[in-house]
Formats: sequence, C-alpha cells, structure tokens
Amino acid sequence: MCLERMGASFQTRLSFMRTLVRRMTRENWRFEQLRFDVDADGYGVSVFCAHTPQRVYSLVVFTNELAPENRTDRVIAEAWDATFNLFDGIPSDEDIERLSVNTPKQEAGRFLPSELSLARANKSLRLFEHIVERLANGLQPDMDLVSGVGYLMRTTAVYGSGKFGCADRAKTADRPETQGAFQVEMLAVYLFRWFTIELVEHVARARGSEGAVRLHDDIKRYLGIGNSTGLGMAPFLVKHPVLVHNWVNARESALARVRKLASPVAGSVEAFCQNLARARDHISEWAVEDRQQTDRITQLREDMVDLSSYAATADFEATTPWNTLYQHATEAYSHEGQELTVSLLLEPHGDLVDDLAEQMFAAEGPALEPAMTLESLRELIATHYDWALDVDFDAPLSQKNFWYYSEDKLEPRFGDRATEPGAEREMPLAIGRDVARLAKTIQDEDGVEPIANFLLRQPEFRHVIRRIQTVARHPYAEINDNLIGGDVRPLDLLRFKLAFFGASKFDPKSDLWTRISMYQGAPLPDDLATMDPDAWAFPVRPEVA
Amino acid sequence: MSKTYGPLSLNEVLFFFTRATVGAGAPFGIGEDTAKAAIFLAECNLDPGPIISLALKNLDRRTSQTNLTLRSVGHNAEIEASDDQPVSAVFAGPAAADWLSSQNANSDVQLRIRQVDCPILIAAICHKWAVSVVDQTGMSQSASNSFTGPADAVITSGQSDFISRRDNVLMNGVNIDIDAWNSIHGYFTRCLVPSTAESRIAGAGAGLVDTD
Repeated sequence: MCLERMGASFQTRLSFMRTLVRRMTRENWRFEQLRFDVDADGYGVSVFCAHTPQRVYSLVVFTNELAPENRTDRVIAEAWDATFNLFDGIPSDEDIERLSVNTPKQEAGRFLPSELSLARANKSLRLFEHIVERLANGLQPDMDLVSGVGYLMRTTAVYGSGKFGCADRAKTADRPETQGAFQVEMLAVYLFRWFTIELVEHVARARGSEGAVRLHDDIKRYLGIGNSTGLGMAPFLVKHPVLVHNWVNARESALARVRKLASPVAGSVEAFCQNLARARDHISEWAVEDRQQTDRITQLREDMVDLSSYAATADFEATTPWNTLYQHATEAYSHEGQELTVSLLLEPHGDLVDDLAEQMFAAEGPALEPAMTLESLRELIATHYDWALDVDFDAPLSQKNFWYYSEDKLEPRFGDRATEPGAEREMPLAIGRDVARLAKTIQDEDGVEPIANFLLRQPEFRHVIRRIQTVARHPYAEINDNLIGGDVRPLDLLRFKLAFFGASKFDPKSDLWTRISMYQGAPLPDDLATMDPDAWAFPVRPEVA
Repeated sequence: MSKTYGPLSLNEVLFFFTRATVGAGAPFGIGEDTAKAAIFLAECNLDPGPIISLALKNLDRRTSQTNLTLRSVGHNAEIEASDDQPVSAVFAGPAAADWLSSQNANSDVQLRIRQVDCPILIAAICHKWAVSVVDQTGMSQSASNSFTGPADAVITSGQSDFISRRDNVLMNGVNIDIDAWNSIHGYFTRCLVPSTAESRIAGAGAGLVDTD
C-alpha cells in the first residue's frame, strides 16, 4: 500500500456511506423532523431524527448569520453557518439548551456521552443564495451552477469517537447500525444533507411567499454535502493500523472473490456496462482547478474509453473473465483507471461481497509481544519494511518534513524541518525512519535476547516495535512510504480515507487539503422505500426541464 | 469535594495522557501504556488524574529513576533503579508487564519492583496480575489503593482486585481532579508547537475565505 495508489482511490459499494444507505433501506428506517424552529433567514434550531428498528438518533442543528469574511474552512475558524451534533436518542429541552451554548463553539465547547458526534458546516453562498432566489421566484435553479458546486453546505470537520467529551466509539460499537466504521459520522452527514435541502426551501418560501416553488426532486437528490478535509485525517490512518488493514482487506477480499468467478453471475455483465457508462458520464462532469488532478482525470477518461471498448469485445464466456479484465486494467491503465475499474468490478456483485462490509471495523489495537526474540524482530523488519530500509534517512530530503499539532486549536500541520520550529515535538508518524533506526540499533545485538530485555534498555523503541509486530499480523496496515520525505503529498492519505467513506468529486486545493462531495445522488429519506439504495454509485447531473 | 474537569471521554484520556507522558520526558510507546493504565483506572471508577500527575511530576523533576535493571532471582525477578532514587512507575510498569507476559502462562512467578514511586500505577499497568505493596515493616496490602510510594510492589500470578465499571464510564465520562488535570494538561502542551505567522499561513486551507 503506497501513497501513489492510495491517492487514486475511489469509493466502492463497501464504502461507509454506501453501507449505511443500504442498511437504512433494508431496515426501513423512518425519518422525522421533530423541530424546525428557524426564521425567515434560516436561522434557529432544528432536530431531525432517524428511527432505526431499535433506537432513535437525532441531528440537532444550530444555524446563524455569519459574515462572509469569517467563512473559512480551516480548523482554526471560530464561527460557522451551521453547527450540529448527532444525539443518542431524542434530546430534551434541557439538552438542546445545553447544546445551544456549546455546539456553536465547536472545539471550545464541552459535550457529554449523549452526543455521538460534533460537526459544523458553511454554506456555498453562491449556490445557496441562487437556489433561494430562483425558488422564491417560482423557478428551478441553473443546473450549470448546481453541477459546478454540487452542495448547499460543506462540512469542515465531523468529530466523533470521544472528541470534546462526546461518546466514545465503544459506547455504540456493539450496536448493529453503528458497529461499522464511521457509521455515526456518516449518519450525521446524511441527516444534515436532508436538513440543508429543507432549509433552502424554507428560506425560499419565506422570501417568495405563495409564488415560491419546491426544488425538483431530481435536483434535491443530486445535491450532496460538501466537505473540506485537511491534515487531521493523516495521523488517524497511521494511528489505526488494524482498522486500516481491515478496510483494505475487505476491499481486496471482495476483489479476489470477483476475480475468482469462473463465469459471470447472471446480469452482471450488463450491470457492469451500465455502471461503466454512468461512471464515464460522472467523470466527464468532474472538473477541478488543480492541474495535476485535471491531468489525471483526463487520463482516467481515456482509460474508461478503453475499458468500454474492451468490455464491448471481451469474451465473457471464457473462464474467469473478470480476472482477465482486471489484469488488462492493471497493465494498461493509470492508477486512477485501475482503482475505478476495481470499483466497477465490485458494483454488480453485491450478493458476493457486501457481507465483507461487516468486517471493516477494529475491535483490537496494536499489541506488543515482549517474548519475541530480536532475531525474529529482525526478520519481521526485513519482510515488512524493506521499503523503509531502502531509504537513506541521512539525506536531508528524506526527512524534509515533520508532522505536528499546533497550539492553534491543535490544528495538525506539516512543517519543513529545516525552516520551521518544533521538529523536536513531531508526531510519531515517521514510521519508516524509526524502523530504520531500530534495524540499525539491533543489527549487532544478540538475536536470542527477548524484546522485553531490549526495551528495558531502550524504551524509545517501544512504539515502533509494537507497530512492527502489529503490521506483521495485519499486512495491509502499513503505508509503505516515507511520510516525512520531501515528495510526500498528504493529499494522497486524505483521498484514501475519503474514498473509504464513499466520497466523490475529489477537488484538491493544494497538497494539504481537498474538497469533496458526500451523498451526491443518494436517496433522500422519502426515496428510501422506492429507490435502489445502490443506484447512486456514480452520480450524474439530472436532466431537468 | 474537590473541583473536577470533565467529563472526558476515554479517547480524550488516551490522547491527552499519552502526550502528557511524552511531555514529561518519556518515549511515545511508554506514553501509550501510561494512558492505557489511566483508562483502566477510570474504568474502575478511580480518578486517574492525581495518580498519573504524581508519576509524571516525579519523571519531570527527575526525582525518580528511569534507568532500570532487571535481575533474575531463580524463576523470579526484581526491577530496581540504577541508583538510590525511587523507581519510576511510568517506566517500570511496562517493563514489568513485558517480563510477566514473557513467562510461561502457567508458571508461578513473582516480580518485585524495589521502591517504586507510584505503586498503584504499577497495579494499573499490570492489572492482569495480582499486585501488592510491601512497606518498610514488611506489611503487605493490595496495590489498588496504595497511592503513594516509594514502596516495593510485588507482582504475582493471580487476580487483580480492581473492579471494572466500563459501561458506567462510557455513559458518564471521566471527571479529573482539576489540579491534576491542570498539571497533566501542562505536560501535554509541551507536545504542541507554537504557532507562527508562517506556519499559520502555510496550514491546510490557508489563504482561503470560502465564499464560493
């Protein structure tokens, strides 16, 4: 697993948003607006609920006026258009009163285990105002603008797992609906998307009175939720090796199952071709300003043209045809092309692969095996970290950068070791360098010595030895690249994680952060009973008269 | 009743206590083990703040020794400081757990840590075993309520007398004595890098006012 490939990831049907929407449909979740106390400008308090078979989860949203000059996506922002929590159950008036004091403060607030997540979002001013104005005047919005932005609001952080006093993941990890990775956060965003659509219609009604119209259903569905993601995701991936292994292992297992099929499942070739056509339309609408990503999208489009030709002439009667197609992709396509091909291969095979989504969480963390000998440790390093041993860490470029938490709201930052202060306080993300140091240190030690004895003398290696042993048990756990090197693009880490979330339309704004769309094309609560929960894999701009 | 800070989640305990331990002078891996012990104490309805803050103070002020030696005594072993200072529980706890984990699971072994500064932290880190404290008169008691040292901690196979109430903690969070929290947070902040005008400008999303 290297950065270049991670940075070409696409959502698949195992992605967390996809899994959640399927569950909502399968279990007939019911949705309810418990409270919508907002004024004509859309400012106020709202509570939107999801009723699962066993429990209720409530989104509590506070919206307020925000001066345009204060609208920033950075962690260090201090005000937002909307702030919200996912509440475990139905909040009382006292709960809402308490949250009204804390939620708008975000990181400066304090929360209780009744709150499962905390998040905030800013409007796309252009699109929000445009849609309000058009609906108020009895018109549908300009689809070029809708397509160009794709969302009414974008989240700038969605916190869960115990942040700021919110519930630990362990509180909900045994519940079927929240056992999977990030299901709490994905549910919060799903409900928030619904809220933004209700909000824009409400403001339009207030402005246009009886002349106002509702948003066309197809446009509603096409609107996702935007997200700006920065460096916070990178430390997460390094700190949760077992979880990352389980994600990748599920995806690789799914791919292996499809590749092993001796002959296509009935209807799967047709479904593959339909999805491919839709994916081509989808990427034809994927436009970004970033030059490198633009080049990659251009190449991806060419790859998909080739894949269409290949699929049109392929012999699907031959043995293991999907494997042959996959091999063609790996030989002929860019990383983006290969990864999208994997997504397309999984798409028609829900019956074969969807059960793997149930394995994409981690109940255990890294563990140390102190009885292991140094000789065994040396073998593990040679087997699993050859890439790290190949790096010359004495070369300045190989340690050019360092990761750290800033005093500014603990904002994760990526600094230049030579020019910025604080390298002595770097986060322990330089796994390759630390492994290389360990390897050098133990190369002449007595091989039969247990690690326990070695660590008594050199406890500074405790962290990295625990990691090496964990990675040996979980082969997809490690990012096989030097994360402090001069050529690292943190963006690659972000895209990998966001693809597992189910994000699309990656829109890099620098090497450090990206915008994305979430749930674009997904069924809204009213659609769940009638719409195929997997029909939104590759959302395409609707034709609205 | 003293003032408290919180409630914190267990994940916050992990995050802050790991880095506070690093801020007090321990390697990250030791910090992880200290934080896990703090979580364990919290799950047992004990405030981990005063315990960890005491151990970190000793570490930071170098009034406890981190340079330790392990000496085999037959099937048993002893951990002691390389000089006359008390043993740092922050360092001795993981070393003890490592040695005990390395022994045959069925063997009846004993590990003594001589003059450890915070015996209850040893008990929390080594909670898979029975830990007792022996004072200078030779009197022995459970380490689960032996807050201050130095005293010898004796670890044997057997059951810890801690009682976990994890569900209760997950529902209510962890409250930390305010003085202890301030001390721990102070160590934690040593892991943060001061923001400069340059680093602020170079951060993710910098330079953008989002009015799209």
